[in-house]
Amino acid sequence: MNGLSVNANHGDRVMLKQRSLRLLLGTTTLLVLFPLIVFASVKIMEDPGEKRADILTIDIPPSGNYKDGDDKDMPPVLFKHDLHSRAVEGQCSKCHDNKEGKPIFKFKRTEDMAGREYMDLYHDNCVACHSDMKGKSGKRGPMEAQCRVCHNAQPKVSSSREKIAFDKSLHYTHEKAKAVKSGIKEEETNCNACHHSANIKAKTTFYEKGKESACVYCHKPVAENGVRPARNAAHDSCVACHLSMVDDAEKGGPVECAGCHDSENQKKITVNTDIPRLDRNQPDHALLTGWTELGTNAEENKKTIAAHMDAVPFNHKVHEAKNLSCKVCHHQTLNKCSSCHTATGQKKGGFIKLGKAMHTGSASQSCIGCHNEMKTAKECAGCHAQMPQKEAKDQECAACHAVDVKSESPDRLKDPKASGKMALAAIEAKTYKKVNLQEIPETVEIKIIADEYKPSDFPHRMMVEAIFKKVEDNGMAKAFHGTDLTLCAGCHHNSPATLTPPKCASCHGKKPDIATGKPGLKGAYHGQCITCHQKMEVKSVLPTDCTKCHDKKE
Amino acid sequence: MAISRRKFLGCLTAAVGATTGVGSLAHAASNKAFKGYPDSFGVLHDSTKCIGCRKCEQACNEVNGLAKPEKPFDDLKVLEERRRTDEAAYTVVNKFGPTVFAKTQCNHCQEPACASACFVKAFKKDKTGAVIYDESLCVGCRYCMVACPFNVPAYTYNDPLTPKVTKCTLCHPRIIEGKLPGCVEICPKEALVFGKRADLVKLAWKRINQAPGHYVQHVYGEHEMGGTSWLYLSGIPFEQIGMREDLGTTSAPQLTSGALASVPIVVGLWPVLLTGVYAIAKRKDKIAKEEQDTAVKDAIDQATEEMNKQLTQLKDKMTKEQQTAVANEVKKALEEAAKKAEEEVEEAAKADTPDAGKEDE
Repeated sequence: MNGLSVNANHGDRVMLKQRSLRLLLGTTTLLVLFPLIVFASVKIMEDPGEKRADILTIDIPPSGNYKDGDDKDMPPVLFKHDLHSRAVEGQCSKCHDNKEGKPIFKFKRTEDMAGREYMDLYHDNCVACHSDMKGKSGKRGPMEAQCRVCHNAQPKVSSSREKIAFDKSLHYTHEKAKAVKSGIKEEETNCNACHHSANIKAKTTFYEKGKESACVYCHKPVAENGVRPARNAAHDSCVACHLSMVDDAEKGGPVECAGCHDSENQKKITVNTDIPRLDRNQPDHALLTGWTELGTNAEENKKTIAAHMDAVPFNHKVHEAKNLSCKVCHHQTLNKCSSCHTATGQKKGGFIKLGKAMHTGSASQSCIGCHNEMKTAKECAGCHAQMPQKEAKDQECAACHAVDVKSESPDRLKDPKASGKMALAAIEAKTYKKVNLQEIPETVEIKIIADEYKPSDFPHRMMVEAIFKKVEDNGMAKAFHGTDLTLCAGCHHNSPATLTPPKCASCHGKKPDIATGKPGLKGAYHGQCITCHQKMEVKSVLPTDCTKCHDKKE
Repeated sequence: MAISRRKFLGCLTAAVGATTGVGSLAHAASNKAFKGYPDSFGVLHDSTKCIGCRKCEQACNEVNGLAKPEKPFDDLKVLEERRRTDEAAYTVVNKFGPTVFAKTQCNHCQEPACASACFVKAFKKDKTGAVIYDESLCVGCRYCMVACPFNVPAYTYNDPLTPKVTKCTLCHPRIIEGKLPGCVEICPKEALVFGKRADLVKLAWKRINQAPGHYVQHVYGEHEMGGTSWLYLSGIPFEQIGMREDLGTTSAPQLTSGALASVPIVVGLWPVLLTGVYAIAKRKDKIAKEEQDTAVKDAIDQATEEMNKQLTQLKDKMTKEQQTAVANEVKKALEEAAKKAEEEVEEAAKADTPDAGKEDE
């Protein structure tokens, strides 16, 4: 009995020792690991996951031949396309079937199918390939029982796909590329390699010279009238062509998703600067009129002409050069605006009347909308950002509607060449006349509200010169600030066009006028100067640096 | 138990229903929508015009005679840090982007939450539009600080003897004199415009409409918390210039008036109601007890009566029997005596003469 109890005590002590040792060890481990755990969890929280341009979301339709027990609501699979195309060493046929000698960019099928069939198609083929293939590192894709590796509700990867703008520059790269060959012998240009017209009924495509348009005019975001959606059309054509010259790194374009859709890669695309005009028989200059078409009846024509605004001389050539693609204005077709947007509106034009189509300030395709966007550039915003938007006045209409065609013969107006000449004449007649700087005051002392600070010695002429310089470099500004006093109105707003405008204090009182919304003198001066400096990003004069403009009183 | 749990809960539900019903009824019947004092003043803060010069802070400090801050007002580095109003600054300007600034101060609600929370009426919405604070009434509970949805009132914790709540006064004393509030007067950009609130709402919408795209299509304070005397315009969502967009358009007093209106009813009616409930329950018990007692008494009486009856009957019977027995005994004894006498007579006759027997006849 005695010996036993001694042994037990000894055992207890040993256990106690072990326990405290374990405790100590545990605590130390925890202490060491704790910062690591915190760090790791913070890192996990911050980590938005990998961003890839090649992510395809495979999500099967929710209905179609499903059996009971099919889990059709599994999270969609984010498929890394470039990873797979590299794994199969660029052999598209591993996943894509051929039809008429061209790969169809659908997975292991040429036509669409029903929900359950997709499920089997993907499961069978993905898993079969994964079990056959083994990467260099010995890794392979997920197998049958690893559902959640593919069907991951919280994927660690997200798409960074950027649309690629097939702009004038990229167009020219293809236009001049010798690798892009004309498919028609007698054609000198290679336009027919990509551009086609279609016979919807016969389901055939053919080339029509002079009718080339942007792909998206027919290939809409989703299939329409049996026309492939834009994405399919682009991939079928672009990728297939690039694949055909995949061996030639010099000539061939990208075949991987990231090649076109990664923002970094997009920056590497050669930008052509000296791009010749795209020739599609478009006018250099045109007269934009409110009527859509003139008939043969002279009396009727006269009435029609009289009932509409004066025509707008439009410099098509300049607008082409200033924009990245035709689509900027011609958002649906390359036809005349008035072919869809008629004077009274029609279904084809979304019931948007011609007047609205041209003048809607918020639509970037409209004249006013685009010019408004231009006015937000820092060179322009100094004056323009401060101008309240108001109803157009007569003289503002005349800035564009400058050609009085009431006395013109309808035949001349109907003829694009003749009316183009009229437009050109009107454009050339526009002048930009500068104010003689010697006629305006060099400095203006602003002292009327001087109180805490000394009066400000405003370098008037210097400012005007600076503004003039900005306009000098800008064709649009010159075209629209034609009269010598227009620029003065940036500050001397609401004043008659004169070299001796009224004083600010003749309109602005000591206090703001709440009823009219007119700022007081202090608000007017500071608002004009500071807002202009802010909008023009004049870094040298900070808005809060009071003494930069007026010294503090002693 | 005098009142069961079930009963109590039943009564409670009924009482709550009654009181809240009365409360909301009272509210609906009032048909009120307080639009603020007519011709009350306000300030329109166009945050797109603010340049973050902190002149308003300086003017506020001077006008209200507040303690000079550690860092001078022309130190714009202060703006790098997000600040709130405190006992030494009734207004602060915060920076929300390279060129985005917004001023914070008491918004002078049309129906102030602080005033509705204050149970000593230290806050008052003045007809000028200002929400004024009367230090002499304040008991220092700081409910106003909790109640304010804009987190504005501060407290002079550093003053242990005469602490008070501090907040912008809308320069009430200056307004009465016909002067502008300090901040409005000094603002170099006229980012602050003082005027009648109704006119300022119009002006704010005018600015929004005249410069499409320049402003968020919302005048903050026009309807927030039932409307405030300070109104705001912004070029970016108000949430991004530190202003709460989750406040709704119902004023704080309106939110609580239903519940608070039921307080007098609860306080006044509940004791009566509950006492009534208690009394009724108690009375019921009492009646039941009385009835029971009567029944028991009746039963006992009846039993006693029956028993007495039985006893009497028994007694009678016994008496009768006894009498009968006595009578029988007597009869028996008499008969025996008679017999004896007869026998004696016979014996005598036998012995004396046969005439003796004749004598007996």
